[in-house]
Amino acid sequence: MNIGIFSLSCCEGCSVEFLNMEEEILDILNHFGIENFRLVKEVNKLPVDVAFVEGVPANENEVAKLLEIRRNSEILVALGSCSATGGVLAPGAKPVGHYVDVDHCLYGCPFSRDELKEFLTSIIIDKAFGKKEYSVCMECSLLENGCLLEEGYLCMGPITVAGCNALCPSNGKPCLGCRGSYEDANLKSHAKILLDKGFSKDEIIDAFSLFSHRDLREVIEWLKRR
Amino acid sequence: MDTFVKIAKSKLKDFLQHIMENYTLYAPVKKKISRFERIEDPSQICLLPNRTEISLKPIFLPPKESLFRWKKVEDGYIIEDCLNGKEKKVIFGAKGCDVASLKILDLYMMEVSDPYYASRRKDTIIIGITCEYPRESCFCTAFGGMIPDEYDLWLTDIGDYYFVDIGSERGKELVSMELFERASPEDEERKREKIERAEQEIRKMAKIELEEYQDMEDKFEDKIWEELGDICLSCGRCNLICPTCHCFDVRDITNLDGSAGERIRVWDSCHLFEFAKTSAENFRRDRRARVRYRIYDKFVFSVKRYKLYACVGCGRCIDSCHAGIDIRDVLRRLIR
Repeated sequence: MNIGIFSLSCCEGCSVEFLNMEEEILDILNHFGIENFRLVKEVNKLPVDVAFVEGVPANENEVAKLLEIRRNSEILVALGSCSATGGVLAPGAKPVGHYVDVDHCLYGCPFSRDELKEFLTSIIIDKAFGKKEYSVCMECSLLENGCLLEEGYLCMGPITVAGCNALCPSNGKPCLGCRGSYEDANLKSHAKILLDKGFSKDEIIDAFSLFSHRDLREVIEWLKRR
Repeated sequence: MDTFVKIAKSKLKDFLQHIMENYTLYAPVKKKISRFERIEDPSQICLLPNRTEISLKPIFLPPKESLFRWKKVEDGYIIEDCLNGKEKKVIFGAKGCDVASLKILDLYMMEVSDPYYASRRKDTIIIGITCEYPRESCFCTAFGGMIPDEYDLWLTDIGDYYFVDIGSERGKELVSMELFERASPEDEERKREKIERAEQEIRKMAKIELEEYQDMEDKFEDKIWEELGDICLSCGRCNLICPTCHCFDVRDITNLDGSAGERIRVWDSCHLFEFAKTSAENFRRDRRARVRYRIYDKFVFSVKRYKLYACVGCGRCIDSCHAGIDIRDVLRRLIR
């Protein structure tokens, strides 16, 4: 099977993260050939079996490029938060799913290596792979970290989709919500709780605006009206 | 059984040292959060005035644990069981709520004889200690008070001494050492007063008395569930922090092609959207139904199954809830 890693407009941090997987990459190459990866290859080809797309299309050329990738791939994966939800580029830029059908999303800024491996395994052994429907808060509690929200930090853990193994809170930094929220997340209640904890409306709007994908925009509007 | 003994506070360290020669000792330690840890040196122990932030549960049912590992070889698979060797444990310094929770956890985990839990739990000696003063969230008096039914030794601070109640044959063996002295009836009186005072304190704050097995089943459609469902974040913290919640998820962590890996179990939470999701349907899609389920599982289903409430009143879920859901308020409304 062969894969391609494609970059649209973004910081290309996910491509770099892919190359950072020094421990895993040789094993990945045992199972997948890399047909297309502009950052490391001179000759790049289509079609591919699995296309990983990072970033968002910022102009017509990039939309055309995305459509071509979609036509020439069996499975298209939105790699990283920009591609999956719009990430830091939202709401100005639309996620890849706005233009083409996306088979899977790997959230995070950058994506989580463990989740990428989980996804690759799912392809090799034909196992189900899906979005987690619970929060970073749950992963953080499993690690018995103690709670940054209780300590007075503005943490987005309770509404952010799990899968990073609570990387930031485990290192003493509150969750910024880079992975986006999950379907079941109680966004409004979290905003109310933050207000009750004494954060200002502006602070909360800022926090919700950093990775302001569609679902969060609603809460931002609701907060502004209050 | 002669149950009137005491130990001078100055001799406690010698007693613990003696325990450590024969057993693995677990006791409260205060780092960033307070919890029970394996003790290498008695000076690590921090006897807190009330319960630790983390309960005894992780000692017997860790948040994540390996069940078995596998590896593909030429003619099949090698499977290695991760069942741990037996460790002779002494838990020292546990409070009443946490000791009471073990009895409940035992019922759930031993009913199907979970070997991983059982091997950790079996023959564990419990040396509990009376709370000095309760936390604001404490309400153990709703479930029988500060002193649990089952323990090996129970210590109560009575000044220069700890009064020691003996609850089992194993406990009796432990106090046969010279470190222990005969206690006087005055000592026992002092102990009794101390416990009564602390329990009075809790009753005053908790303002909740549950009659034996109160019927709450008719509250299934109460509007309280809608209210709680609106504010609950479904983060699962109340489940994970609860000393009696015991649900877990089983996952496979594999290498890239699945030829080697391990099967683990991880604590799960009935507040999560996927908890009741099956191939056919999701029984509790609504947050309201999930909030209700947790309360019913502790106060209705457990009564049907085991004739007890699966709550010990430690109040950890109250302290950990971001949305400020207070299980005492919920109960007060349900038994109204």
